Amino acid sequence: MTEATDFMLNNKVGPVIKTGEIADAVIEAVREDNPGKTFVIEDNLAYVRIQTDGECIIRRETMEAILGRPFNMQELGVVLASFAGQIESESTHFRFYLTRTL
Amino acid sequence: MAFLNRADWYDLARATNWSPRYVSEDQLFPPEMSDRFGLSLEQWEAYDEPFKISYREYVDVQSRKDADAYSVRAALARSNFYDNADAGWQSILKLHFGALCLTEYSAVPGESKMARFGKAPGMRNMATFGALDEMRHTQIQLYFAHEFVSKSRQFDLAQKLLSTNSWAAIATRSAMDDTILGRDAATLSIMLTFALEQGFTNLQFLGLAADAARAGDFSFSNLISSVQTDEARHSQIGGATLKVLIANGKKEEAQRAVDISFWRQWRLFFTLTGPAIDYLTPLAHRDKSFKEFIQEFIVAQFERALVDLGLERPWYWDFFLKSIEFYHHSGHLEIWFVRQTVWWNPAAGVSAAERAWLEAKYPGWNAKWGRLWDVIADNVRHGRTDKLYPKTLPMLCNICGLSVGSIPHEGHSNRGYWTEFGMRRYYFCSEPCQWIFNLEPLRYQDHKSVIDRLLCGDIQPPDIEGTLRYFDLMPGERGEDAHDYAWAWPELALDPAAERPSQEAA
Amino acid sequence: MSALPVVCNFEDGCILTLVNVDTAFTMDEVADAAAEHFAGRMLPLQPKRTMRVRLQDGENPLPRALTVHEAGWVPLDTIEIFYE
Repeated sequence: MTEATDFMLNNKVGPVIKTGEIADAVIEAVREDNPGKTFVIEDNLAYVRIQTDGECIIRRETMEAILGRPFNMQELGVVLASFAGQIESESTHFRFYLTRTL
Repeated sequence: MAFLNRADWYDLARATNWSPRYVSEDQLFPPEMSDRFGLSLEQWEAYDEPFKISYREYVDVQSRKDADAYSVRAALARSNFYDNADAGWQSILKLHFGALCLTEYSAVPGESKMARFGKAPGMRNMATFGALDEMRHTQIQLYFAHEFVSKSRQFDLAQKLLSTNSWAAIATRSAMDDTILGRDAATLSIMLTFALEQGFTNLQFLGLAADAARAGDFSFSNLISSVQTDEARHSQIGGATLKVLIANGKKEEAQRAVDISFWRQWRLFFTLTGPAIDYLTPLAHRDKSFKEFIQEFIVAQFERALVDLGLERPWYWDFFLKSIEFYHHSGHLEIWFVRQTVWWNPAAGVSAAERAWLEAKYPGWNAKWGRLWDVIADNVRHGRTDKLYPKTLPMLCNICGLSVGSIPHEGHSNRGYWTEFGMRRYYFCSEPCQWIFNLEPLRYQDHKSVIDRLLCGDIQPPDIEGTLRYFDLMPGERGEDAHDYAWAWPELALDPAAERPSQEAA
Repeated sequence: MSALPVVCNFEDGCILTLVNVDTAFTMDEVADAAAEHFAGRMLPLQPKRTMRVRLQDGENPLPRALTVHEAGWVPLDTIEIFYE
């Protein structure tokens, strides 16, 4: 019982992305856009879970620098299959966050 | 060509509430269609959809998704994957397409109801895209399923199932009607998009996609994870509703909507996804168990988001956590036993190697379910065919339409629940299903379970063959053991194609 | 004499099952009718052991010679079958 309850006692946030070029770019971008944070990358073959504690930001300019081409943040929507935490979606960035820390 | 940033014009462009002068607010937005919580248009103005998208962006993103899904399918079409796939995996495809193609379509009126009757402009905007999403899910999955119709008649159920009276169809229709047709836009935004799409669809559309990729079915894996990317967006409609309701003192009512829907969807999804991941997926391609996917997507992710929005865990949370350990094991055994009533061929999934996997993932499995399968395997080996099929039906719940399951070899760990209402007794699988009925008996009193239909004479003759015909399942569609019982001979289990010894005399 | 559908919870089983019994059945006959759907299908046959019947939440087993009619059961009453 306590085992499963413990799963809820987390502060993990971040995207769950279909594997591929964008996913690889996001893995690189989150390290740049969230300095000092530790990320856990879990590759499940069909999807990659990218997680850190509390808040995770992905910026458009970072994605563009990594991909070497213009990037509309909505392109993330093509492969964003799920996510942990709440989401804020702007033209300049996507942000995953929690408002309460457990 | 330069465009304004969406953030610079979006809020103004979707500010489509106005003050009606020729009709009252309630005539424009009837409470039974719009908002049973009784909030005003002004209160709904605070609604802020977190996953914003413009129509231009939507069309661009969706065309990319479709190009991706169809091109992967086209590239792999000549690979003969299906013909070479394990019978258990073939069954997963039959199960998935039959259960989901037109269920997706039943979500279109739900999104459309929010698009017309939602009192928040942001809800109407996002639900318009949601309705288009659900049409896409129906069409693309029917298209993929159609490829296999020539392989097996059981794929016909992709289009046929929901217009039959099979137990699975009745359970699905009942849950979706209660979530969509019988609810106002605000409530259904919680029940459909939040409780179902932000929670349980992840199990089937991502958990199973992971197994599909391991099994080499990249076409299917890519298809269903693509579907889930739509869900990730429009499922955000409900979370924004919850914030408005909590801010306006409606937390208790919002919590109730979550609790009702979460339980109804859990009952459906352990039946659908549990056996697929823990029994039907060939062992070599499994990684996480169904329980581990629940811990990942439902406990660590969905429930955590629920708490972050300011709600509580459902009141039956402790029981939910316990049920993760047993519901789908008993459900799988029951489905295998009544396999003639389903449109796929259930793989028993209990060869020696598979049992070792189950024991590792669910300590104690052998001493509980393993012992039941021992008896079944013994009947197989001794040719006692009549013992491999039921002579009666399991009792079915008046809310979820599913059987009443518990843990075997623990005496009488099971129990029934019932409520006397009107002139009759309503029977339930669990305390939460009984609680749902007792909240609003008038809502549910006229719905007849399969058992009700049997006892009141709708099913004639009232036996197994009469029931199968009532379910509209014809020979060729009815399920059989996926591996022709090879698992019951331990020495053959790892090589189902090996020649089988002649059956021992009974 | 008439048929009565009851819900059967058989010892060590894990699925409640609909069983038709006759109102003239004794409890021993009820147990036999129920066992047909469990023992030898998913649970081992235990021919040498005596089966008893009680209502769900009932304290004591019902007398073996008591009939369904005498017990006053109504449709969808839930019974537990256990080995003595």
